[in-house]
Amino acid sequence: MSGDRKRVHSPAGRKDADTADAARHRFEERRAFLKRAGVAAVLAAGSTWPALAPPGWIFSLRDPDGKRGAPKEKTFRLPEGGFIVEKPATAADLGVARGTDIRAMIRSAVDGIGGIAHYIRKGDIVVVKPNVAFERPALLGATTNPEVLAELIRLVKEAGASEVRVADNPIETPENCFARSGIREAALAAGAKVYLPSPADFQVLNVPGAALIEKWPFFRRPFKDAAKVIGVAPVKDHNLCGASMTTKNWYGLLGGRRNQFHQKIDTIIADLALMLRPTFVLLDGTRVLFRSGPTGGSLSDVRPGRTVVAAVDSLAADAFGWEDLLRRDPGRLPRYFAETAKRGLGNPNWRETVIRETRIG
Amino acid sequence: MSDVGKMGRPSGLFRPNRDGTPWYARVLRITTTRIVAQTFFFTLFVFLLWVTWFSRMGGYPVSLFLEIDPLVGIATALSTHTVYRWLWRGLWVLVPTLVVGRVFCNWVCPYGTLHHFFAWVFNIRGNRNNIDKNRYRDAQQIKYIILAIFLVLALFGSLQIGLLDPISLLVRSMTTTIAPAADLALISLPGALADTGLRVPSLTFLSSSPGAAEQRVFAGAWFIGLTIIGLVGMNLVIPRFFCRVLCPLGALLGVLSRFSLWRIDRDITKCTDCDLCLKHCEGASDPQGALRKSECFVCFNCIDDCPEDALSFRASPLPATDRIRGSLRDGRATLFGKKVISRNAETVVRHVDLPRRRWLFSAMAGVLAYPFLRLSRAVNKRGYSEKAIRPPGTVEESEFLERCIKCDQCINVCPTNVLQPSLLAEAGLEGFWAPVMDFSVGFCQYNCVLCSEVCPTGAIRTITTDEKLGSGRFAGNGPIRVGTAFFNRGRCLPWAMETPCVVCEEVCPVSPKAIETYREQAVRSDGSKVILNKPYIRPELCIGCGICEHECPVMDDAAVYVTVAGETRSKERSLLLLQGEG
Amino acid sequence: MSSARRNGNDDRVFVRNGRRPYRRSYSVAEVRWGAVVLVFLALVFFWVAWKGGHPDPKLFTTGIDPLRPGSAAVRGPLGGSLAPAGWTEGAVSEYDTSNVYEKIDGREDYYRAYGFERLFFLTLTSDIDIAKTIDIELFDLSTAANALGAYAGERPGGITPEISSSGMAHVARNALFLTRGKYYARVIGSDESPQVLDALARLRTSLEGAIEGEPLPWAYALFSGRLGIDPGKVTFLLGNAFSFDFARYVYTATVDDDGGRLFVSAARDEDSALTLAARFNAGFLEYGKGEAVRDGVEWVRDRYIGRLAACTAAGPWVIGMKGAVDLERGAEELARLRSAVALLPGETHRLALEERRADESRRGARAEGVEDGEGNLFPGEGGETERGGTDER
Repeated sequence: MSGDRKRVHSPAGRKDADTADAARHRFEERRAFLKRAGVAAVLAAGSTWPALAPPGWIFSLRDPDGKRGAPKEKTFRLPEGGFIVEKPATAADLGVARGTDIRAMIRSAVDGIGGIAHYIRKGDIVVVKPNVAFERPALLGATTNPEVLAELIRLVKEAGASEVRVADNPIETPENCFARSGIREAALAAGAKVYLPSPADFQVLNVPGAALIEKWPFFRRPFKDAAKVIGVAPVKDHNLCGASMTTKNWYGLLGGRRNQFHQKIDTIIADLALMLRPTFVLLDGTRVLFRSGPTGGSLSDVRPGRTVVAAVDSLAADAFGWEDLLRRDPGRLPRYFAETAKRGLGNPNWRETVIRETRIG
Repeated sequence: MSDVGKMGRPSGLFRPNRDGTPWYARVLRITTTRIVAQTFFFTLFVFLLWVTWFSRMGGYPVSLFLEIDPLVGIATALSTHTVYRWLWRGLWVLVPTLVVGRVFCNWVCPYGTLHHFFAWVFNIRGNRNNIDKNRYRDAQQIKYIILAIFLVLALFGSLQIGLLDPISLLVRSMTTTIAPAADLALISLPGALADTGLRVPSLTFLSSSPGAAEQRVFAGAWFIGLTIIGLVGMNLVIPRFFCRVLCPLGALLGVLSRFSLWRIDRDITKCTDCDLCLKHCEGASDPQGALRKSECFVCFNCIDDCPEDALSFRASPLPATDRIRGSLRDGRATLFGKKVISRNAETVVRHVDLPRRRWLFSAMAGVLAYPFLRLSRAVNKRGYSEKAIRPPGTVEESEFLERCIKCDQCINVCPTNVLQPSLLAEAGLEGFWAPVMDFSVGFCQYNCVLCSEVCPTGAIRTITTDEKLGSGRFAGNGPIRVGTAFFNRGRCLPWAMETPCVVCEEVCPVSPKAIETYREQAVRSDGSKVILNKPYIRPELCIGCGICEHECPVMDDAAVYVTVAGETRSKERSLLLLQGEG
Repeated sequence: MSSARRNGNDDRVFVRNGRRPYRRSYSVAEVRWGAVVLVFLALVFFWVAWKGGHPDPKLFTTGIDPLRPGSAAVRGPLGGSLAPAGWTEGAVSEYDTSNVYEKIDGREDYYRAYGFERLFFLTLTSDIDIAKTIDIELFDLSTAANALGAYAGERPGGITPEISSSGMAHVARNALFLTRGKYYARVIGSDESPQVLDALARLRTSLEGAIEGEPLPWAYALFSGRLGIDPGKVTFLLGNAFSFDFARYVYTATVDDDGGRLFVSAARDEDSALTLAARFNAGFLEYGKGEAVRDGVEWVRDRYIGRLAACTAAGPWVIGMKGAVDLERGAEELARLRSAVALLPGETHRLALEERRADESRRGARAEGVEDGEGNLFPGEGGETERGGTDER
């Protein structure tokens, strides 16, 4: 433009040039207007379409009744039929081993129900669920004995498991519980992976047929691609439900507001038996927390039990623990035994079952 | 100046300098070392905060930066007449300041580094504008006023330095805002990417609170966050605004650095008064004229920026004003036979630039501020809040106010998130941001004494698990109680609604349990019978850990709740006549 | 226009080339100082790393260590596993003077009087029947004399202990009591079944193997070796003997069925032996009156129980007899003791003083209330109550 100005010398020429300039300027103005109008039209259409197009059309955001925008609950299910492996016909229902050599006891107890090779296949990812609910040294009996856990992990690894995951969602601070109970150290030393719960690890589990937890947050991460699940729970007195053993142990996989469940503790334990059908369970009776449960806190609440019990039917194992380890009246089994048995999830009459008992040492 | 050298000469980084010195004299000049040191200390600071957690702590000196902060040491010495535990480490900063000036501010201080970094990255100004922004301004006096008020308050036994002390402020901000924000990102990232099909490995091991089942939350985090965003954002308006204008630690070091042996010196026979030395001056300390020693951060940028090599860092240079011969005004003055070029013959201002009357005013303000704070209802004996539940090991409240610097390290290390920065309701302005327990968020972990270990000032005395629980050597003392639990029978499920519950009894960690139950049979309106365990408290056993309140299914206003009644640290708040004597 | 703005200095999003210095000359001195700073930073780094690797163990442990149940540190003198085959050990717990009442509330004063230092406790449970248990209480009583004293005090009359060179032991019904060196063990079974008794016998062997023994105190050589008295009848009275506050470190030996006892104590030298013997005599006279003098020793008949007592010095030793029924017989026993003491080598006297001094200095350090003569700390006189002294109960 500065070049144009230089060329102009005469007044007449300048007038012509001015007119031409003005015309070109108006033309440019019009062109700019059309451009902007175009942009405005595209923006208007672009916002009108998603706002007004019926749901289902492409790019539609329309939500006439609010249902489209309501948060969707994503649920998942555990494998159909649980993680059960049918017990061999010749094996006993309860494998009981007594003694002090924990390694030999666990092997012997599991041999009683058919041997580890029957339950664990080469390459399986196995979840082992101890009870690490409280931040207590293992001696106080409020948590699974770390030696039992470690020997179980070794056994499972020897059977060919590709990975063993140890997971629990404790009541107290997870990290402190795993450390103080010795579970973390024992699990890592035995070659397992420790899964501590973190907020992203929970997903809503759908348990068809459950009375209270049909849809409930579940500690899912360790169960991704898992083939087998083994529960290993201590024998503990419990202030509300009488005794906490292998069946109540699954409570530690729930998330959310689980403290409501104490209002129907027997029902929730039956639900837990339905929710998680394990490959087998191990009842850790090396220490028995016979009073002040489930937290304990004093060595005087604990006595040595020197027993481990392996079973596919966790209810039978728990009933055995009630009578043999907690030394309580079999006629006064907590209600959850009956409630669980009613749903066909176990047999609390352990005396009717086949028991193979061994003594070690 | 082209980076490509002449033929036969190495180019780029390894090009020798025009003055004949080797290339590394340019590349590894002292400002480079300073940047390395700043990066190191900032990283160390973040690392130490990151390891402030049960599983990572080991023996790391996690409160190191708070301990070497001489303001913390001096202010607590004024308020308590003692120097607690590691606070003598303040000498590690105090002594170097007396030798070389405020090196802490621009070499060590992580908060200074943060401001420095943001002021640098977001600096959109041109040279001239930068030079103007880095001139000394009177507002820089404010920090001395703040320091004086805080120290006078400390003399009276009210420790408020933590509100603005840079280390406390940064620890608090990191703990309650930055760290949880980072955790939130780490946790939600895999979830957010799950739908895209990308499998992101779990990054939770990087989290500042690994193994916490829930995202940590902090009371009033928005306000702390707003404070740090605002203060960092001020760098866009005035570079190093906090350091120059507000920082009470900077003020303290400024007062000390007027005695420093070394300082920046300006050679008036070389200086052309071009003011380029102000271009990157961090402290706004007027190196172009009479250097304000108390404001200088010893960043050495001025030496880099001087095109005449007129500036140097020298041991106690004497001002040579009296030795100038001839008149400055007609431009023929000489100094030691060399022509004086600068129009300004003054090279140093030794005194802190706060007039004596303003010191006096500040002290008076501090004298008045004490009663204004202490006469608030929340912090004196007659008006304590029932919810001002302090962590176990905390000293008696008036001593606590002499010691707590609100750094919130205890809150950082707390594994259950029960410790929260208190808001005005619990302990007024005086106890603002000091730790209190909120049992709706967490509970006091039975075997845990980490908060007492990390406390740099002894506001939470170092205790062992044995002392906390009253076992072992401390069997005769009984446990440390932080409060006592009470039942609200009107909201308790078994008491008011004939519904079985007693989660509280289940989780009670003491043995024998401090919550016991009556067994009662109730007949409901439909004729069905229900056996209820109705809980009650045994106050002589309760330690106030609050796990019952936290786990109570009556969430919003728990049916069992803890108040400070019966806490062992205060005789006035004891509950039972003989509690704690058996 | 826009390209001009991009080149300009005034509108940069980030600082480019922000560290280009204007200075003309550089200095190698800066590099040297930089190196010094870097060395300092490295030192800080290593210091922090070292600190991190050396945590304070107290911070992360509770009173009960979950990872090392019953490890050597806690087991103290118990050494390795004690459990006989078929039995399993529980956790070992340890108590000291500050908390021993937790374990044996009501009984601890007795052991305190015998120089209690520590108590180790553990329970064994039968593998076959978990109702069968054995509790082991192992007391560290600081000296062998104390251990023997506490042991003798708890031994029922009529039981003859088995004596070895370094301790005594006996089994009574379902319990085993033994001393070995400064340790005194009470091992109590849950019943008297053969299984428990068998375990007690085997425990005795393993305890005697685990705990280092030391020779019996000199007084046993005197009473048993020279006078032929059954060592089970020898008792040690640490303080307040016969309820006299001045009478400490006294050994007694019962010599007849009526409970007459010889006693001996080491004085510092012959003079103090004379003084001490005179104090004994004065003490006896407070509760009775002189009846006769035999061999230059005055025999005093107690006016309450009607028995005779006498005391005299024999060289640096103080010897005497208390509770004799018959004057002649008593005088005979005392004479035998006198001649036996006369034959004791000087080495024995030095040993006795040594033993006493060591014990006193230990007590002095702990400032225990044993020597202040308050008089009610010693129930341990073999079931027999001595009348006299300041004891007015």
